[in-house]
Amino acid sequence: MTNNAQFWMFARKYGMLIVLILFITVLAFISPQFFTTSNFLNIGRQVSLNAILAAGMTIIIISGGIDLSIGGLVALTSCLCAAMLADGHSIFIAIGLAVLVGAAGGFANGFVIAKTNIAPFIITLAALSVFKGVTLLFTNARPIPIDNDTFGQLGQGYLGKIPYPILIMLAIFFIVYLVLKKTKLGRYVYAIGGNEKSAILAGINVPRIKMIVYSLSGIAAALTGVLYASRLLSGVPNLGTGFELTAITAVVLGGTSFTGGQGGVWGTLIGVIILGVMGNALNLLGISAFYQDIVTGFVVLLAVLFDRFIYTRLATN
Amino acid sequence: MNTLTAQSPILLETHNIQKSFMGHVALGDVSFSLRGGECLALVGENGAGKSTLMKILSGVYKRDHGLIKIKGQEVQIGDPKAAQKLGISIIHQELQLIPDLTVYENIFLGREYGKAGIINDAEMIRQTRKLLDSIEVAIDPKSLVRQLTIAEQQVVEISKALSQNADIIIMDEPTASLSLTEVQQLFGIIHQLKREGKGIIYISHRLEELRGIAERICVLRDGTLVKELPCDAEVDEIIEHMVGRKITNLYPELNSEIGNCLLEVDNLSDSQILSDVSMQIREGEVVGVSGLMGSGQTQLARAIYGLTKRIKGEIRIEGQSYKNPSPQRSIRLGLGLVSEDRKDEGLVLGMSIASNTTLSNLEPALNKLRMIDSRKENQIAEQYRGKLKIKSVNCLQEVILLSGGNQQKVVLAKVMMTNPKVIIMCEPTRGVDVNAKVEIYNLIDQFVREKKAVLLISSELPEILGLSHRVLVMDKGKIVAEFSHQEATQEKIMYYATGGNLIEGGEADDK
Repeated sequence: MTNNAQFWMFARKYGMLIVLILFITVLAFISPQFFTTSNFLNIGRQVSLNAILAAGMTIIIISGGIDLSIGGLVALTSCLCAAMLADGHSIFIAIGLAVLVGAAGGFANGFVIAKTNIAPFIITLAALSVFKGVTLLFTNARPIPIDNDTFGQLGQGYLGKIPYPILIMLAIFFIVYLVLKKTKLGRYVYAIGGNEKSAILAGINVPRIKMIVYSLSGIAAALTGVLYASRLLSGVPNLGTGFELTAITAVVLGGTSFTGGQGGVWGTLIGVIILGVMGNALNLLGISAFYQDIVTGFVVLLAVLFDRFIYTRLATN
Repeated sequence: MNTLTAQSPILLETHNIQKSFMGHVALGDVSFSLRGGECLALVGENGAGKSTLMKILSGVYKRDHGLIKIKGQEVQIGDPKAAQKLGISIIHQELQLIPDLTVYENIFLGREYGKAGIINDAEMIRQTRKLLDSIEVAIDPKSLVRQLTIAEQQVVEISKALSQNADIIIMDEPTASLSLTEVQQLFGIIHQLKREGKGIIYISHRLEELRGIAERICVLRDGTLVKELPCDAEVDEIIEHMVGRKITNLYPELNSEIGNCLLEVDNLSDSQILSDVSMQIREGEVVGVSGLMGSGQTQLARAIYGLTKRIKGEIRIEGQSYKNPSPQRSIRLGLGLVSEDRKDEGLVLGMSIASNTTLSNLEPALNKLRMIDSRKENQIAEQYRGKLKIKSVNCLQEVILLSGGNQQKVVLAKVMMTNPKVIIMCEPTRGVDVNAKVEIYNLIDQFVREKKAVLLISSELPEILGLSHRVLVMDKGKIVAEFSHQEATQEKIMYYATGGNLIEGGEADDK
């Protein structure tokens, strides 16, 4: 009986990783261009920016919340960064300010959520609208070009063969991993997502943790915004539409429970890569990009069903 | 009174029921019968097989071997719907009603009266009224379930069972959250059901109450029916069969040394029910708080611990005034709370034993970089697991997989880890088996011997009487009486808890 339980435990923990490996193996046979270092680096470069958003979203979802406003913050911070550079400020000030604004936007979300106890879905949906509106207002809906090659290196440059954004993404995932698994903050995030009432009784300052968590998500959005500005060499006001949904998709694919309290950031990384590999494969096989959305939808559905299947197997064992 | 005669038909028979889960025997070989007009009490420790047996009867599990006969006919109970059709209904401990629907909507949920999809409310209301009248209770069929007391909601569940023409009604710990008067009302209803020829299977941990309600007591232990006892069996005898050995002393001796005052409360009031509550607890003391459900005991605990906003009055811990309490500061000042409902408020069920143990105090598990050191955390949790005798594979096991008693011990471990001076315990042994109960009582005793104190809030009077150096009685948010351990009796406490002092007219309040 324990063997059975152990098998399902293993399946739950590594299920999506196995799916990813199967995926890659099959594709390696189908498409000769697929299984090459340059293609993998290409996939990595493509997914790295949105992966950072998914890392932030992982913390939020584990805490039992959701953040729909990140797309708006990506647009806002990318334009802000571009505007500062256009005004002749230094790179550090431009990035610093963008991160600060991202953190402030996230904090505002967290503050209202903690103080009012209104569903995060609604608060962050409202915030998304506000962030988008502010971006359009101050840019007049026009892109802001950046004339700064050093800044462009951040999103386009390479260390040896590896693009900077991949390294930045990996660094951020590692930091989020440490925060979630090795710090008090991370433990409290799991506790709040698992049972908020118990967390309050245990003496955890729940409002404070929520404010921190949403601030972190805001910072992740700002970093993504800065990297987009660097890659596109401009601040684009209508950037970020639908980014929150891609992030949520990756988190869910990665096995993080939508009800909170369970999951982790490495799962999200696998989720991100699965989405990236899928897009890449369809592209290589010459299948229309429209199919990608349809396939993504079904993959998510299957992943969730698979998780449920394993969970019930575990429960009956 | 006795509604049972030899002619009463046998409603339900089970023969040699067996059930195993992956090699683990949950039910060995269970045979019993239930007559119409009879109430059969089913007792046993957690894990003895009661719920497995009930789940087989209600069609949730399938039996491996054995026969079930209803009114002499052999039956298969494939799923809960089949059980319902055969006239078996279960009243679960956690009620299954929808709070935002009315009484009648709940009763007829999924079986609404009406034609062509148009619901006939008037007819359902009429039927509901008839059902409620038949068991002699006055509840408005149109009131929302949310507005009813737990006892009234239970009545609605019973009515629902009756509306499905149930002959066999299984009640799982129906009195767990009822006050004494409500228990009496429930017993009245059960007697009424018996008179109508229904058969009742009554599961309870409150052994004292069985005498008033059951004809026979069946004791389950390790999946086997070990003994059938008459209704007038002594509680000690029942426990002996449940545990399989003699329990000589349920309660520890109360000879800890009483010292200085640790916690004082002066004129504490909240916006709900508490009014001018004053009390104090000294080193070495267990102070019991008793009263009917909803008399303010829970609110007192929550107000002191800092879970209630806007309280009036003063709290002092070791002489120091404690203003605007919050759980964080309560813990820092040496207060601990074991809450009423461990699953809802005490534990994070999906987390490991270790993580739950250190939830309130992670400091000792941190390394120099202020990161969590898993090995250290495990060592600490392992210490508490040993000390509190928590039964599990290891400390990494999720608490959701533990039995009630072991879960409660994890809650205690969590509270103990903050080194409290005073622990406020609400219903510390609810849903906990006898062995774990005794262990928890001993822990309380051990704790107060270290110059610490416990404020014990419990709806089980024997527990209050057996453990407390002093007993405070609450009624309508006030403390109405105080007894020493020697003075306190069940009768005296009930007298004051039910408003006896008002009839006496002694201490009228001028406000």
